[in-house]
Amino acid sequence: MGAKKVMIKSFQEQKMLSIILITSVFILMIIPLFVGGYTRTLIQRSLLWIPPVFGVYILYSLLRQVHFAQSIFIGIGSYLVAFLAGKYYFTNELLILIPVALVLSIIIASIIGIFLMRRTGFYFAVMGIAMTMVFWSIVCKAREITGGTDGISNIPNPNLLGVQLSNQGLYYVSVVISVLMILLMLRILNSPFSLQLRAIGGDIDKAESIGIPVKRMQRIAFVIAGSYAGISGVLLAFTYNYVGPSNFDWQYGANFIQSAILGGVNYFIGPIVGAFSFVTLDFFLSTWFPSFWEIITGLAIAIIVVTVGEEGITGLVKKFLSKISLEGKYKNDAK
Amino acid sequence: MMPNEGLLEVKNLKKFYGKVTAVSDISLKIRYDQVIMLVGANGAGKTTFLNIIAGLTEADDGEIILSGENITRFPPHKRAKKGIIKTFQLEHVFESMTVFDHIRTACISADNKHYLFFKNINNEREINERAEEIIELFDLTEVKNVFVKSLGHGYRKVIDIATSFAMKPKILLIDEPTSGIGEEEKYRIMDLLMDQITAKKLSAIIVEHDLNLVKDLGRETIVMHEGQFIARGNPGDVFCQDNVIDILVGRGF
Repeated sequence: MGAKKVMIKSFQEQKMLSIILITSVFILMIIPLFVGGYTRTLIQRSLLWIPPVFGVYILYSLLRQVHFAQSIFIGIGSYLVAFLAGKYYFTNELLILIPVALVLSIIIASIIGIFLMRRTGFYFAVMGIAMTMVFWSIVCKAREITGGTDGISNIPNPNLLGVQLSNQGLYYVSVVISVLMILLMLRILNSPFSLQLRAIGGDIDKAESIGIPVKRMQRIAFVIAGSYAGISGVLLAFTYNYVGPSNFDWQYGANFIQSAILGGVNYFIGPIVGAFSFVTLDFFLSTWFPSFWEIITGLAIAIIVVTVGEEGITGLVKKFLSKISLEGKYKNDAK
Repeated sequence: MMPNEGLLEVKNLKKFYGKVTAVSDISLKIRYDQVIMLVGANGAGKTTFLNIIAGLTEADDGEIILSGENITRFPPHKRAKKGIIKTFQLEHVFESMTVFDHIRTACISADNKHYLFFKNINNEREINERAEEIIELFDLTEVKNVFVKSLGHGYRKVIDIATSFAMKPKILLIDEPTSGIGEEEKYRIMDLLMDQITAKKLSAIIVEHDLNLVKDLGRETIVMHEGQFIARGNPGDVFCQDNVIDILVGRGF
C-alpha cells in the first residue's frame, strides 16, 4: 500500500511539473507582446543561462562534484560565433553554428574530462579553475586572432534558414532551444544512466564494485554538461553582440554554481529558478547599486546557503506553499 | 561447464605493504557452489585477500583465473561484470537512494544498461521486475520506498547483500556480513544469506569474526594468520587444533 501511495505521489508531481512547464512556455511565448525589448532581453539571458546551470546541476546533484570549468564551453560557443559570424565572416546560420558548437564542445569536453575526472572532490574543483585560467590566458595572449582583452564586438544577428532574425526572432529561438534542452535534461534525469551517476556520487567504491564503469560515466556526465554550455554560448554571443575573454573566466563559471545554489540543487526546477533569479538580481543590483552590487549579491547567496542550504529558493517557496496549504487544511478541519 | 570444474583459481598471490606482509603466497581453488568461511585475527590479511580478488587492491605477484580466463589485470568493475562481487566490511551504501533504487542500480549495471540516456527507468520492465523479486527475497518489501539513510545498520547490511545478488553473481566475497550487529539479528542475516547462496548455487568466501556463528554454520573453514592459510577443514576440527587456538583465542599463562 505504501508503494502505491508513493507511486501516486510521483505521478502527481510529474503531472504538476508538466502543467508548470506548459504554462511557463505559454507565458514565455506571449510575453514579448506586453513588455519592452529591455525586459525581453533579460528573460532571454535568463533562459540561456539555464542550460549551463543544468550542467553544474548534474555534476553536483548526481556526482557530487563542483564544476567551475563550465565557462570554458560558454567561451568556446561564443568565440565560435565571434569568429565565424563576426570577425572572419563565414556564416551566421544558426543551423550550422549550433551543431558545430555542439561537436566542438563534445570533443574538447572529452579531452579536458580525461584530465579533470582523474580526481574528484576538492581537486576536481581546483583543476577546473586551473583549466579555465589556461583558456583565459590563451585567449588574452592571442591578440591578433581573438582581439585580446578587448574581445570581438559587432556580431550581427543570426540567420535561421537563410533569413536574418530580428531581436524578437532571436528571443523565440532562445525560448525553443532552452525549453528543448530542459525537456532533454528531464529525460536524462529519469533515465537508468542518471541512477548510475547517483550511485557514483553516493559511494565510488561501492559503485565500482557493482560493475559501474565509474571513470567513463563521469566523463560522459562532464561532456553532457559541457555541450549544454557550448550551445548556450552560441546564443549568448548573439544576445550580447559581443564576446570577450571574461567568457572564459572562472568567475563566470562560478556564477553558474551560484545560480544552482540560489535555485536549490535538490529540485529539478532549481536550476531554472536559480538562473532567473541570478540574472535578474545581477541585472537590477548592478544598475541600482553600480558601486557595491557584488557585495549584495554575495551576501544574498551567503544568506541563502546558511539558512536553507541545498534547498535554495525553490525549497523556501515550497515550504511557504505547504505552510499555506496546511493552514488551509487546519481551518477546514476546524469547520 | 562441469559442475566440479574450478570456478576461481588463485595462484601464488602476494601483497606487501612496505615490510609488512599482508598476503604471502596464497593459492586457492574454488569450485562451483563451494562456500568457504575465512576466519583470523585482525590484520591477518583477510580483507586484503578479498580486495585483491575483487580488484580493489593490486597484488604484487600472482595470478587470478576465473573460469579459465586470466583476470589478474582487470579493473574492479570488469570483474564485477564477470561475476565477482564483493561487499564491504564497513557500510558502503548509496544513502540518498530509496531501497528500490538501490537494488535497481545494480540491476541496470548487471544488464549493461548504463548508457540508456533517454529511457525512463520506470518503463524498464525487466529491471523493475527483477528488483522487486530481490526485494521480496530479502524481506525488504516493507521498506521498499524508504530512503536508505533513514534505515538502521541491520537493514543496510541486508541491502548491501541484496544489491550484490542483483548483480547476477557467480562468486560472492562477503566481508563480515554481521559486524556491529546484535546477536539475534546476526543469525537472521546469516541464515538469509546462506539460504540465498544455496538457492542460487553460488560460490562464496565469507569473512566472519564470530567463531560460534562459524561453528554453528558448519561450512568449510579456513584460518588465516600473517597472510597465510594455516588450517582448513570442518570448523569443529579446525578450532580444536593447537596452533589455531593460539592464534584465535590466545592461551592463558
